[in-house]
Amino acid sequence: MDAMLFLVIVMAAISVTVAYHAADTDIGPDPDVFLKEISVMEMRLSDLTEMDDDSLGYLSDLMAYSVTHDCGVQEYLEGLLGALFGEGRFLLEYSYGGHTVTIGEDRGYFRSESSRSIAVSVGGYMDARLRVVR
Amino acid sequence: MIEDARGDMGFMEAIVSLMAVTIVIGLYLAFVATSAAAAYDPMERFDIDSLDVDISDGVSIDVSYLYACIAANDIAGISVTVTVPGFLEDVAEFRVGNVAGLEHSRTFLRVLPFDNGRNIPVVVEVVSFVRAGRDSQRSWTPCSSWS
Repeated sequence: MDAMLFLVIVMAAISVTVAYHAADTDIGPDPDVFLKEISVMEMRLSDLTEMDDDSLGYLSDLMAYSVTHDCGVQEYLEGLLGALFGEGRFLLEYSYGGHTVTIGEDRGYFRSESSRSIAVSVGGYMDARLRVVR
Repeated sequence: MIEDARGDMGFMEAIVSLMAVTIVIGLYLAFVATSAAAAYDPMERFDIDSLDVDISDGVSIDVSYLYACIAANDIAGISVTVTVPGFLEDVAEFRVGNVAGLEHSRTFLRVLPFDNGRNIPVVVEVVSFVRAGRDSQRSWTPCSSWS
């Protein structure tokens, strides 16, 4: 009986140790960092859209544009997030003007997530949510 | 446990119990020590903003901060991989010191100025290698595939 009680206590201690160290292994960028930086990234409109316009625009504006237009923004975001978090290890959803775009895989379990409303230059806000498996 | 009429354990049972407890505690301590070693991260205080990365004309970095990290921490070498998704196809890799041994990796997002006024996202992966001995070689080897 005493030995069983001792083993239970040791197993509990091992579980606590594992849980403590498991929570410490998140060494990738925070999803919130990515959503914050979206409104700082600037590129030419012609880089990611079919427009023949070399004006600079924020990535957040281009994302808002992409919800109703077929362009290269979604493909670009998929490559960027894949390089940042790993292929298939993220799910980005953003909506603007009643339209929603989803990029990535829904694995059902995500280790961290972040949501943010990002101002769009032409008016209104784009709601974005990024979930990440790490 | 086997007990006699008075409820006392025999000598052999007591020794067996002592051995069982000692073995289990030993295994637990070994597990804790292994976990603590795995959780050690020499890059914990690495400041990505102190690493000067330039993508305006190809990819280049200022390795002086990497040498400072090696000197300040007990690590043998650092590898930095710079990826510019969508704008530069090749991945640039820079190595300082002896890049072999136990790895600790961190990935960072930077927004850096590019040509024609662009500010584009750059993915920087920093891998540190724990020092295995005192004979680390310090060399600076840009990726040969980078053009």
